[in-house]
Amino acid sequence: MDVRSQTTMVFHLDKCIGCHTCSVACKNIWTDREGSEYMWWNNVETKPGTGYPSKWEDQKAYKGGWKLKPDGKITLIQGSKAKALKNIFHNPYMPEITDYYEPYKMSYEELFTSPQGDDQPTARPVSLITGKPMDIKGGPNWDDDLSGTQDFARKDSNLEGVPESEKQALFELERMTMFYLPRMCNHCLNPACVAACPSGAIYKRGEDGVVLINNEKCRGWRMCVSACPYKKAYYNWKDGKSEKCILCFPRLETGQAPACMHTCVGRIRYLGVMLYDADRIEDVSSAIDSDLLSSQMSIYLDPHDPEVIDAAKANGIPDSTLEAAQKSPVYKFVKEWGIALPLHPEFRTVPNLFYVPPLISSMGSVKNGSYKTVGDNLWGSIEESRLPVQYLANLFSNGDTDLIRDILKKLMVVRNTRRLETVGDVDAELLKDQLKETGYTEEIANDIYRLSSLPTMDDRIVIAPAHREEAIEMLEATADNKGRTGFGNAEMPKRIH
Amino acid sequence: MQSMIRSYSPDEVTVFATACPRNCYSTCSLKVRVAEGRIIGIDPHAANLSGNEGPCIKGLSYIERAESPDRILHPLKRNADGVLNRISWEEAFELISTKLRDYRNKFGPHSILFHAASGMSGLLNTVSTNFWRLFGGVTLTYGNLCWPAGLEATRLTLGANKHNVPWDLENARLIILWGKNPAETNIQEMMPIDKSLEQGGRLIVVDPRRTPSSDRAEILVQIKPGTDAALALGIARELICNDWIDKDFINSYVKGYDEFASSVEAYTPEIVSEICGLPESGIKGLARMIGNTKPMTLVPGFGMQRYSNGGQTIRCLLALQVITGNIGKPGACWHYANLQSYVFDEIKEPESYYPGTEDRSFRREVSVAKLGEDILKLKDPEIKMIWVERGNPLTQNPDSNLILKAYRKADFKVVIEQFMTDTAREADLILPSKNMFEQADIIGSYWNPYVQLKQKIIEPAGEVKPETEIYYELAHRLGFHPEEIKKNIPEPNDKSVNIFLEKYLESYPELSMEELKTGPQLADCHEEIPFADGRFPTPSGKIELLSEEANMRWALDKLPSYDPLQSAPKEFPLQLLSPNSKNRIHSQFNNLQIIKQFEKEAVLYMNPHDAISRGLKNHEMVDMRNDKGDARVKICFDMGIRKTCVVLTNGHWHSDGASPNLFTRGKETDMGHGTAFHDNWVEVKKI
Repeated sequence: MDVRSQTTMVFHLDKCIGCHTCSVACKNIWTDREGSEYMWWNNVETKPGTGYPSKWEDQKAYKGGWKLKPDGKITLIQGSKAKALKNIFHNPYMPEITDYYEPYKMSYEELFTSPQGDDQPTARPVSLITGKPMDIKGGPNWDDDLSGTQDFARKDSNLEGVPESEKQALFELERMTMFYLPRMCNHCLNPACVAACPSGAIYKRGEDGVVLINNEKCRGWRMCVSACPYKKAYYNWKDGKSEKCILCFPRLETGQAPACMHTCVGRIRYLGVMLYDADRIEDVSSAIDSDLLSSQMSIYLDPHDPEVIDAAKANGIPDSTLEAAQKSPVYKFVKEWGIALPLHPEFRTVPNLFYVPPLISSMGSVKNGSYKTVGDNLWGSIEESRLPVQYLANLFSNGDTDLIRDILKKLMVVRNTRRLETVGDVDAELLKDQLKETGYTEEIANDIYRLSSLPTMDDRIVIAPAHREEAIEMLEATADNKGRTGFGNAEMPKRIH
Repeated sequence: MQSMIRSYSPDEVTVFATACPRNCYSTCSLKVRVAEGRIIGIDPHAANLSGNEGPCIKGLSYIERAESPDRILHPLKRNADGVLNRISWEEAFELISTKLRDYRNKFGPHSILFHAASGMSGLLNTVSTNFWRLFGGVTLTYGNLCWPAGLEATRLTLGANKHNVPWDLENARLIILWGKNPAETNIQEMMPIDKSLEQGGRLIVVDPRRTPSSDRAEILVQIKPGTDAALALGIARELICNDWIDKDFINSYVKGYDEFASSVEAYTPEIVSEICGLPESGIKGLARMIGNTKPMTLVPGFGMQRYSNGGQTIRCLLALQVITGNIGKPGACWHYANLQSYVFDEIKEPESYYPGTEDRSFRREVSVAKLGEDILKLKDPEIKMIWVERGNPLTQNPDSNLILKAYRKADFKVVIEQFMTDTAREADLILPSKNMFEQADIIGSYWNPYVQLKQKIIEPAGEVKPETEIYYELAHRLGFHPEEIKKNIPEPNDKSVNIFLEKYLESYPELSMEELKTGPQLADCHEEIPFADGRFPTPSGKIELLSEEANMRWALDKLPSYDPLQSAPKEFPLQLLSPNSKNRIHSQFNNLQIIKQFEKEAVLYMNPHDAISRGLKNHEMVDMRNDKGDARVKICFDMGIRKTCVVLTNGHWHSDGASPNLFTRGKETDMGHGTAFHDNWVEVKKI
């Protein structure tokens, strides 16, 4: 057992209102620079929808992430490094600027000089890249609030495998539903970007697993851009280097929440430590499809298990990090309660952001212009979900609809438990049956309620103080370690000075 | 644009508490980080319990707004061939004072129209009216674009406009968002709503559109716009028939219940279903939930009262709270407007909007609802000069084309602005305007309970002068009495501004400047749960379902009633809705680059059914028109909109393609001198 620690996040999707404050706060700090205008290290997309960059989930086109070979080993879909090097001057899988969107400003300066007439002059969009007039074709969330548009929702690759009848029902006029999906770098345990970088510039830092690009070493080959299946590595056209979310590590190191989390009005984010067994990364990422998700879930270790604690200490994990792991809100959502799942585990990068699937947009069908949420049986409103369960399964559980149904039931039982207490119009016997089926107790339901509904910032962000003094200085050794993942404290810590 | 990430050491950074002074429910408290005289960060202020998680993207975009390259930084004068030229303040003051003297001498002071809107709130705004009073008067507008019909309806019924603190929403077990979409327009309200839902509470949304707020509701009632009163009366009838009313509450506190009960008998589910375009079972189901889930808070939006029947509609909705006894208790509240933090106002809204409340030197005969029509109509004297501050009437008041005509008829227009808005473009003289960081002021909120200080944080950019300084200069040039100037207009320095503001605080020892500098404060008179004492400041001392004043002042039914809108004209069958979006506060923030990335241009959202039946494709440019105006806009399919409704969100400048006010008519609401923007129909055609 090779215990490492990873700083991770949970997103409670029922709480996300799509206000984009996370994206703007991030942009204000990190990507308000020439060459990075089109980048949104953190973005929020409307689902169903095609997202940013457009159709990023479609690896048939983008060839991001890993695939399982017949010999049971995994390989980057875009090809081995040898092949990638051949393509170094022409990478056919690279997203174009139009796949993101061409950033623009409006030519308001013309309003100062254009003559008065019967009609107001129109300010025209001007490209922030070329400085020339352009037609706006997209934005960071073009389908905002409009999941209903055929151009966006219907092209969502997660609809693959959704039964035709459900798909049609989803698109029935006035029945559309939507939810928001905030996205950022997953700081994966098996990051494709690290593996793909020909310069060895990308590394996963030891103390908290944050994946970083060493700008000194980056040569701008952009293999990380195409290899990342989440399209969360970006190329800065001005300085010719790649860049990505750094989980606001300078803020983390001073005990502050990342900017995106700090400004989250909906309070949907939780930040905490997860311990994992680095020996198992290869196993997990090369598990057969049906075992992939359960295998990933088993890589995260119980921070209360004495064996784990010993192994962690032996690996040089500080006590304060262990303590944070034991109080981790992420661990609770993911492991204890089993209601948060990674996004697209089938990309095999072992991603470390977890999502509590949206119950509200799943509940109930629409009849005569009204949502109907009261079903005819125990879980009626989930069975008649206005959002196909298969769709959520394609996003979060590698297609496992039973698991999604199970989580939706758990979320519903939490609400019903509270509702019996506060409104009283829930059948107590029915609730007992529901609790029994989900394996929850009233106590668990109340714990989930408290952490979902009433948490303070201190409940939501539980991380250990930074131990920069003990951190590995990876910058010098990234090339040696580039084929490996999650190298954490595998080597003895070396002081920077 | 910078090319490197700039970092600052902690001792280079100063943090100020301040508050966002926009015309917005949330009125967020902010912490602003400043380094080297620049705004470098906007953070949440945890002391504001109704928004401690921080502001929206507009609040965060102040970083760009403060330094936008598009900002107007010095006076601009339009010369004879129509070109704007930079002039000095000296020249600008000379020009204005000459014009003011000329018009006053030749036509009298009423030949000048002073038009201020809601662009920046604060006590210093009274300096403007002080100036014009000393000038000898001026023509003023009356009424309001926003919310007076609902304010008046609430005042007639409950006697005052106040509601439970925003965080009390989490105590409600049934929340109805009726025509409100807080997930876009009041995002911090979604937090207590979320808490209520997590507690097992229930959320109903009544809205012709599917919105980000309605997506978390268990019922979305997609009602035909303008028929909300009928639905409310239909629900009231069901409540009464099924005895789901609070008789004790009614007996103790309500005037006119019996008359109200008889008046709703006609609103059977069949009839209401027909009027509102909703299924009968849905109406009954709604009534069942409302009648059996307590406590209930009803959160009506402002858009719904911007119909010609808006005030009566709001009275009908409020009646539901009243007959179920959901007033003055935790979680039970009529959540329309909370004016409790406006402690310094002598006359509160809506009464301050009514002609007759102003100083006698003023002529108050221009309705903001009928701005174009009234300016053109005024005689003895005609309007020769127009002064606009804190507003963009060419975009935001109804019937843009008529306003343009009225503006162009006037000889001389002065507009104080930060950006080149549609209104600024019509000015003969543009004066640069301060932003929220450049002068201190004290503000209230119409949602949260706090009195707040908007601190001065940085020096004005370029040659910007706050309005108070402009008035100070002009007052001296026009030879006002020095004693009067001293009393009414602060000198152009921070100290005088502070003294001016502190005078207001004298009667509120609990509100000191020092404490206000640290964050939001409560005045002692604030009530967390208003009306809990069962006292209602109406003529009868009771909640008035039957209001004599409704009849005497507005010539309306004494009882809440459903007054149908005119039916859609045959040639313009699509009802145009213009709701607010998360990307703007009216026409502000629209021009910022970071906001623009989320919403590029004015787009008309249509139900695909309506588009396809007109042979239109998604994203096609179409001709949109009615008898008031026309524009070319791109359509965008939205499955979530009720058929025959189209949506063009509020606040787009004409220079962004199309403002909804190209299509609106100047018309007042049934009460309160509000603006009936939403009695509005259009047609779209293939180009």
